[in-house]
Amino acid sequence: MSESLAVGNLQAWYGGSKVLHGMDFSVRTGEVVTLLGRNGAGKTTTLKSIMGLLDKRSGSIALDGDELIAAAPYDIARKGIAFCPEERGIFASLSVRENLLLPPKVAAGGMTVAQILTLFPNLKERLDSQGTKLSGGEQQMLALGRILHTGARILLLDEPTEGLAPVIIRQIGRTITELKSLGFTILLVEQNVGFAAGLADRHYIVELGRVVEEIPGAEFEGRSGALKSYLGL
Amino acid sequence: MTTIFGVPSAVLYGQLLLGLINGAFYAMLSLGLAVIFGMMNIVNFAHGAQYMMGAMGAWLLMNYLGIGYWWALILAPLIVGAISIVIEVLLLRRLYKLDHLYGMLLTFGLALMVQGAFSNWFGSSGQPYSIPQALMGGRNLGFMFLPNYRAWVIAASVVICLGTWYVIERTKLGAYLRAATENPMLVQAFGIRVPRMITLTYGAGVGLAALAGVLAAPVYQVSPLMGADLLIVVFAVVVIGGMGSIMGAIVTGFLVGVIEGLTKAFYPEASTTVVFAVMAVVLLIRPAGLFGSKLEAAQGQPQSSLSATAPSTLTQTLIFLALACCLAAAPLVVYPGFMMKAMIFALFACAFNLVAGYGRLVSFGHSMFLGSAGYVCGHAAKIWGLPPEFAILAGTATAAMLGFVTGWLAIRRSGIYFAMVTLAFAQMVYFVALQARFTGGEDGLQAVPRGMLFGLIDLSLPANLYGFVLVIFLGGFFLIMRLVGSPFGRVLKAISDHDARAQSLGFETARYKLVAFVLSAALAGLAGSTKAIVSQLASLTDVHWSMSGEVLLMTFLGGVGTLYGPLVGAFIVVAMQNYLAAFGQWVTVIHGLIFVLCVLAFRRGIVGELIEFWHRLHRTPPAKPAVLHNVAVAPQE
Amino acid sequence: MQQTPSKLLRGIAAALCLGSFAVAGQAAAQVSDDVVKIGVLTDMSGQYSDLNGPGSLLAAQMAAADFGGKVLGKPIEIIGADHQQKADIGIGIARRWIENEKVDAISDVTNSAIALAVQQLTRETNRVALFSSPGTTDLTGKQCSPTGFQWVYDNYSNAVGPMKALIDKGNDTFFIITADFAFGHSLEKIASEAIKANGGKVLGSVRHPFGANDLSAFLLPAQASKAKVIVLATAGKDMTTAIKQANEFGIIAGGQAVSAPVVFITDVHALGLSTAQGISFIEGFYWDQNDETRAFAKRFFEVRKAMPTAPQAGVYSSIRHYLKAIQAAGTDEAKAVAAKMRELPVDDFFAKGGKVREDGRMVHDMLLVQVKKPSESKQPWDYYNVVATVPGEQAFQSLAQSECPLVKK
Repeated sequence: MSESLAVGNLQAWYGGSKVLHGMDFSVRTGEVVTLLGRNGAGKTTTLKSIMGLLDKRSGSIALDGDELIAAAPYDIARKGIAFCPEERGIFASLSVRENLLLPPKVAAGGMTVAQILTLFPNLKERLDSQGTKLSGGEQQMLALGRILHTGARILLLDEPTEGLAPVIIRQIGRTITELKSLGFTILLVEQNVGFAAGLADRHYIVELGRVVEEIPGAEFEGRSGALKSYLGL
Repeated sequence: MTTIFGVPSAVLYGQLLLGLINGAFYAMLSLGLAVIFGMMNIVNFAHGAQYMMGAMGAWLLMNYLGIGYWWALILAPLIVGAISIVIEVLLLRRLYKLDHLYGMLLTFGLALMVQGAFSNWFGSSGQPYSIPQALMGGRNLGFMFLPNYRAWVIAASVVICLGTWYVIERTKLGAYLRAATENPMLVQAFGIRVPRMITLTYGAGVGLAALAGVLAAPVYQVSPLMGADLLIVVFAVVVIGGMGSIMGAIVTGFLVGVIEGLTKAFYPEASTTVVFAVMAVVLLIRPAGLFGSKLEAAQGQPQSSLSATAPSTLTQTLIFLALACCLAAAPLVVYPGFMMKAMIFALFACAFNLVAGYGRLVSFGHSMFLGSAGYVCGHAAKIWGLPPEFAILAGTATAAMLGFVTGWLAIRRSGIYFAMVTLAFAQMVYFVALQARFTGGEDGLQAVPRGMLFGLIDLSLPANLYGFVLVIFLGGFFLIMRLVGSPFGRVLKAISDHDARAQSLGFETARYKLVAFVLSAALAGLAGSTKAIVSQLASLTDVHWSMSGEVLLMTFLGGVGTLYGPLVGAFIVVAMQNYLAAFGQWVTVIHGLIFVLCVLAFRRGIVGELIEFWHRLHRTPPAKPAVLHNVAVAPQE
Repeated sequence: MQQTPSKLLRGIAAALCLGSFAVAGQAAAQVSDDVVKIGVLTDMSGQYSDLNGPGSLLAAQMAAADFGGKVLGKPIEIIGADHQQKADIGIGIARRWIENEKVDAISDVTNSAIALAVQQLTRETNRVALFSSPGTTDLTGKQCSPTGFQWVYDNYSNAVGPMKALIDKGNDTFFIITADFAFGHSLEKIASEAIKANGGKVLGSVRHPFGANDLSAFLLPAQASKAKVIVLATAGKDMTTAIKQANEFGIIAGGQAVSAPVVFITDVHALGLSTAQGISFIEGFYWDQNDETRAFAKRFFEVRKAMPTAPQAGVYSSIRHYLKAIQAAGTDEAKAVAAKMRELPVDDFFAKGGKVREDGRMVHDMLLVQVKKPSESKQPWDYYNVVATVPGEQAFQSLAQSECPLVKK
């Protein structure tokens, strides 16, 4: 499989403070890759840097060879990368339908509304409600649904299971597996190690703004000791 | 003829209808403002000037190019919108990350420049613009005669307002706008060019103002200052309706127009004040406005820490003594009249700086303290025959009381809302001054006697008068100097940095802020009373909101939050007024230019930049600049 | 040896005489600061800038130049400033002029409130005030000054005649719309008194803010009152706006007459003949009256591209008379000059047989004019038919009625 996303020596700053000290990792087309680590390790910052949402970045972010380090967020999105933020980012002043249809199409082949509603049936009755009137789980589904509509093939998901009930978490897990089978490339940030274990092809462990370990999916069980020490479990 | 509460019903309905027409303009203008504030968090103080440019544009098109009204309705907004887009790209864009205040100051400066320039080119009395042929005449409705053009204004504005509402609330483009208002970064991450959208939104909001200007030209005539006083009312409308609420702006605009019309029928003297009274009430009961939701955005943000380490007490005292000597010797070389005026304004600016600089409560209404004290002092000296020391005391006490009442109500808010509340109160004071018998209205309170100080010193002698003003100024300045360096001053700074944190440390922040506000008001009143004695006149200029703008200019130019900044700023501004008086309205343009340059390049002000330069020379760690930043979102991971 | 003492005595006497002549001559030909400086304080950019403004400054300069540029061997200097219709700015300028810039006389002063303050200031500092345009009668009434003069018109001369004429024609009910400052208040008071004195009734009044753009809210009660005449106790742009909006709201078509006591040729120019035709009022000066006035007007027009208004012509006349008085008095000391101004008759193109009274009022014949129909006008500024000349004693308030403390009763 070819390398879709290659990140090299990525450094990033919030204002005056440096948060990423040189991230190196890659994601191949069709893979599900997770970034694991403690709070404050730099996982979300990494996703935001890829989307171009940080003030200052240096290093290299290459998408199929295209250098994206200096690109603006809207240009990065149009290259087919979509971002699902940790706080979900559902717009209160928009209805569920408007939220769903908001992100513009960036490529052909995006899921239709019908397909998305098949994937997330809960949303069907709530289409005209105000976006923020949904439950946490429903908002997460909405957040996922709307980026699926755009035709982006590379998805950056930031802690999709945070704060959700186990049954919803399982549903999201199934969704991600389905997306993988459809050929999406997914970079997942998670603190829920159990959730990540079943899904991903590879795991990277992030500590203090750097990648410190790479663990292939198969070896996950075996390396749980190392995981424990890094993640403080 | 039937009467309702003593007013003939014909007059009542007529005033309501006229009020509705005024309301149409309020609605269109506040709609533009609300859209701009919603999208960009910028309080567009240039809105009134842009409205005027629309009207002027229509007049210019007619007079120089022979292009008539109907084309002007399309062309003028396009032209003015295009100009404003250039301004947004070149200037405004740099300010989005900073405190709202800078956006306000920049647009305020631009407004001054535009209004001053047009006043110079066209004179301030205005140009006639005739009603288009097709809309002449009118019809008799029974209770009044309604000119066709005025009916057109109502119809057109309703269509425009509803059309705008529809675009924002019901279309995809509107969805982008609303989403970008909430979370611009995320919307960019979806692939939408938000910066370009912001630029176009600003252009559209301004275009709306210019369109209102074209509609206004045949009714209100075209004059360079037509937008200036209107803007203050429109701000009140936006605050009442709720910043960021589109429907709120529209409904409130018409509502305020009708309320004003109603007031004109029963009690015309109050018609100009009523909107501010309503605004003050709404702000205190429902701070986000009747329909609004953006309270947090307009409240002040916690600020990055404040400026320079204070110099040692010895250094301060030495500088102070040197200053005193210079000022005492000055009349030998400089016209004493100028020096006295400069010192009075310097005291005013230092008083303003106490809350605006050290307390981070930027008031837009400080003129009410200067002016009301002047009127009371003048009245006391002239009518009650009090000697100057008691007259000044009376004036200062009045200002302090006014400061207590308005401060107690105002400090519950912060940021823009605080500024708006103080502005509302100042406008109320202005209109009371305009109407009250004892102030003399437009004529002013004249022939205020200078009297005998303590019964011994004859203040009509120039030397005595100068010494008197000098002592007052030095005394007030010294008080402020010691206050700022005292424990009280330090607590005040802590509160202004982060109110919640100071509270958690056990300080009753409201009380400290109130004390500071009252002191500031009292000292401003001291300046105003002295001014009345020296110039022997108290006039409306002292209570007008442009005076609040002047003191803001002085403080900002000199360096907000520094001790000597306001002093320097005051001297420079007064000197400009005096020695550039021959240039007439160009002084306004220069004032505006100073605001713009200060916001873009010299945020620390003259004294602030000098202090920074000094630190850099001596390689001491530079002070965190007295610049107001939005706190960056805390790093996630 | 008898002759020597007398010769000596005569010699000493002669020397003393010569000496005293020399000293007296010095004192007599004394001009303060070696210059006669006149400051034209006016509205350069606002409501009344066309009525006065730069045109007043030009008239002053013309007066100085026509006088020869010098008086008593010292140069005449004319300076001007814009008071922007604001009391504090106007007074600040006047004070600075007197305290710091050697100004001897202040001319024009296009605002009654500022004029009253200048009157006070010149009275205290012993300078001359030559008011050419403010309307308030207080300047020659309660607030009169030995060195202050009102030259062209006042609210009495503007209002009383027209009010009486209206009542004589059967219009006996009135509604007054007033500009809310000293000028308007004074005009309203005089008009009301004139109306009542002639058997008319004032049904109501309303005050409008000075400089308001939209007067519809004030025209509404006027219209509703059904008064036969709506009196506009206001001037300049406010007045022209009121007339235009009275047309817009069908007030004139509805049969109510609109009377504007204070109208000048610049207002007619702004309104246009089709709107202004038929309006009649009292004016102090008309450029097209005779050859002398036309000659002055021609020179004025060459520079200003507009015909001189009454106040502007008044500036010329008052300054000319002031300079003549300085010449006659041999000094520019204010009281001496003022005495000469009252002594000498005023006889120029502006006023024939005019006289300055004890109260400072310059009394001269006024003109009752009516605006021409568009068809009657042959060229721009050809706007008036002079209907009658009103002799000075009739036009102005008599000394007996004056409240001036200087007038001996």
